[in-house]
Amino acid sequence: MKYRSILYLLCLMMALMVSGCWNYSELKELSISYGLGIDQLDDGQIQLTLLISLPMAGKSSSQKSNSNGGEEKGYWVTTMTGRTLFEALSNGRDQVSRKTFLAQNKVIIIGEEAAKNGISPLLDLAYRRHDVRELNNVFIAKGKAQDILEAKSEQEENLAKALENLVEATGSTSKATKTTLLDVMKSLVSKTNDPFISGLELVDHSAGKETKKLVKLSDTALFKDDRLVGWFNPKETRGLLWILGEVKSGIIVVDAPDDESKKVAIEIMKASRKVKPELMDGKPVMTVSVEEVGNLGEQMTSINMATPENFKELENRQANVIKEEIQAALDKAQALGVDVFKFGQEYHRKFPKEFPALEENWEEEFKKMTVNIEVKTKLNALGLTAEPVKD
Amino acid sequence: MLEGGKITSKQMILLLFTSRMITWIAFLFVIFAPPGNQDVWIDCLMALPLQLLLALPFYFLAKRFDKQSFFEYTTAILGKPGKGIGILYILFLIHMSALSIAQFSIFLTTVLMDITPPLFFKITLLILSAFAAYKGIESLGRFTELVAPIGMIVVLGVVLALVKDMDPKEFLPFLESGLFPSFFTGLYIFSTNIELIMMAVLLPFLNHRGKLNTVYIGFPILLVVFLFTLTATVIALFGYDLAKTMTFPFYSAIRTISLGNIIERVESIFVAAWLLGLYVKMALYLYVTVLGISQIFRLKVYRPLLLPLVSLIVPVSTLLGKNIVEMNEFTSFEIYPWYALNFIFIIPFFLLLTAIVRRKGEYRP
Repeated sequence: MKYRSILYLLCLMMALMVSGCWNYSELKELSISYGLGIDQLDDGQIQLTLLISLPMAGKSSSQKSNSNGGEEKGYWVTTMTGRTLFEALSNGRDQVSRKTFLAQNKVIIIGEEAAKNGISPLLDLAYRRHDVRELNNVFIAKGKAQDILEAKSEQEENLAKALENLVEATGSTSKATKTTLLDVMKSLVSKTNDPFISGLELVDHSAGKETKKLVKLSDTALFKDDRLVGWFNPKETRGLLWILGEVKSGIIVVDAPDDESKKVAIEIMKASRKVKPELMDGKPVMTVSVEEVGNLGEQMTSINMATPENFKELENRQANVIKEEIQAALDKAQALGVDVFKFGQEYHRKFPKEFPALEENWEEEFKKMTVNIEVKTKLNALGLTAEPVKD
Repeated sequence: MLEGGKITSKQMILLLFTSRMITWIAFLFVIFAPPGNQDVWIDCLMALPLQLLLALPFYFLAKRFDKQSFFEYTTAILGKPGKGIGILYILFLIHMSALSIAQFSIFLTTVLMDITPPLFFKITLLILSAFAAYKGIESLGRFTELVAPIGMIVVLGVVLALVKDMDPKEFLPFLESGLFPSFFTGLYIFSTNIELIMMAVLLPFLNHRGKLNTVYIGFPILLVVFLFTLTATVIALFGYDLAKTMTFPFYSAIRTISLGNIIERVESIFVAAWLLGLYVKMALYLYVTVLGISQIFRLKVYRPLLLPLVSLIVPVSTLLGKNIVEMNEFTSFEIYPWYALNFIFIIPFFLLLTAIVRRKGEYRP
């Protein structure tokens, strides 16, 4: 009898459970955000830009485009302002008729002005909320984040998806970086490391009569603590990636051995790096050694490159180009005093006893640091033709 | 006889292990403890010898009174005042159950369901756990044997999925601030292990008495291996500096799983497995508490006490878990050990001394 009553009680509780979750949210009541733009207005207010998907419109556009090539938008870009990000988001409820859903968000774009005033207060909401993922890609926009999100991607229907594909592809050029929210968090929390974040800019793209704005991955934003202080151009960005050991592939263009005006392109096949921190009379001296293996990808001169002497010469020139790239990145970072290379961390690991003294004045130490660059390169294969095809 | 059931040593190890691990998976307090740098993983290993050493009072007491549970032999040793000790332990266990359920509801409302009222989780879970406790130790043991491997596989699966993102360099420099802070934190880890009291209560139900040593050694080893895995994963993935800023470090680690852009967002599966373990934990706490009450007051049955106990724990937990800051402060290394160590080391130690002096129980080496 007692058993039966408990069974009834359990059945009743089952009925409670099957009705579903307490904070359920129906798909048709959500506005699914794919991109989040953060700008700071002149009066100090925060402006949020959301790239919200419109599931119904997106569907009809794909059907319509077959018939009349209609320009139906699958996405809606809307802005909202407030004193904090969270307030802006809730102010947005006055105009966005559905509950904002950030779990599918893929990119977070921060405007240049906002980044100059410090990014860590702007990203706090993103770490804190359980629906924003750490794997969001973070970008710094040259100009306003709103403008970037309002531009359209020609290839993808969804700009956020396009941006995601762009950063995935950086591995093949190694001239831009891929930074997720997690990477930014890691370098912000460290005392010596300074963050770097990939940049975005709008470029004019003329298609026939009309010119369109096109979003392009460009340059790398450098931060002192959490304030934007400068940019690495693509060449310097690759220098940064060489030091961090994150170069995967890419093209190195060198002058041809016989004719300085003609170029030879070498494809990076494999790269690795070693960073060796040393202390000389209490002063930090860093040695960065990079090893690279490449293939001859293209030659625009007409001499036969497939000789041991020419290969040797190309290897040297390749090493020089890499050295130049690294030096360019180092010079700029040291001038700005931003340790984006994680050198401080290397010193902490190797010299735990001496490090506290260094850490106090790390910016100065980093600026004055001597960095030796050693590059070893190897040229391996040359493709299907040995000699250039000509008469 | 209050409880006629018997459990095997394996079931017992898994039962105690699951109960402890569940809290550590959600709240990885070790991360915030001294030495406060990348060496915290040493603390986890340090906890093993400390636990084996400091749990010896329980071990010798169990050897002396092999037919009696903890609540019975306190009376056998001290006479009437022994009941006072027993009541103290019951209050402690009620406090701990309330704390666990408060931690659970805060974890769940933070990471997954932020609108659901915490009271709803507390009441449903405790009523279900009370049902499991109602079924007795045997069914609880068997259920754990089924559930614990699921939990372990999920945790190990998570760790394996994260291996590619880990950086072993995060563990350097090694021994930056010496071994002493790790020793203290080892003590802290030991002090959170209140499952030792459960062990002392459950030991008479072990089917082979000779397996006492297996439980005594196997349980801490399993715990330390898993705690080490959790801590090392979090540190290798985030680095210590970032890990210490997180409320739920291991949960945050799970959120970053991304295998080829296909296997992502697995945290809900993890929380489901975690809930199973929590169910076992609460059932064990309730069971031990009601069994203790009945043993102290020599009641014939323990089952009618379950629902009153639940109705006591729910309001207490609501009072305790006012907010997460207060609760984390209490469970931090600064306060918690001085509270819990009394119950898992000092009182048993003096009990053992008294038993030896008064020649209570028979010592069989």
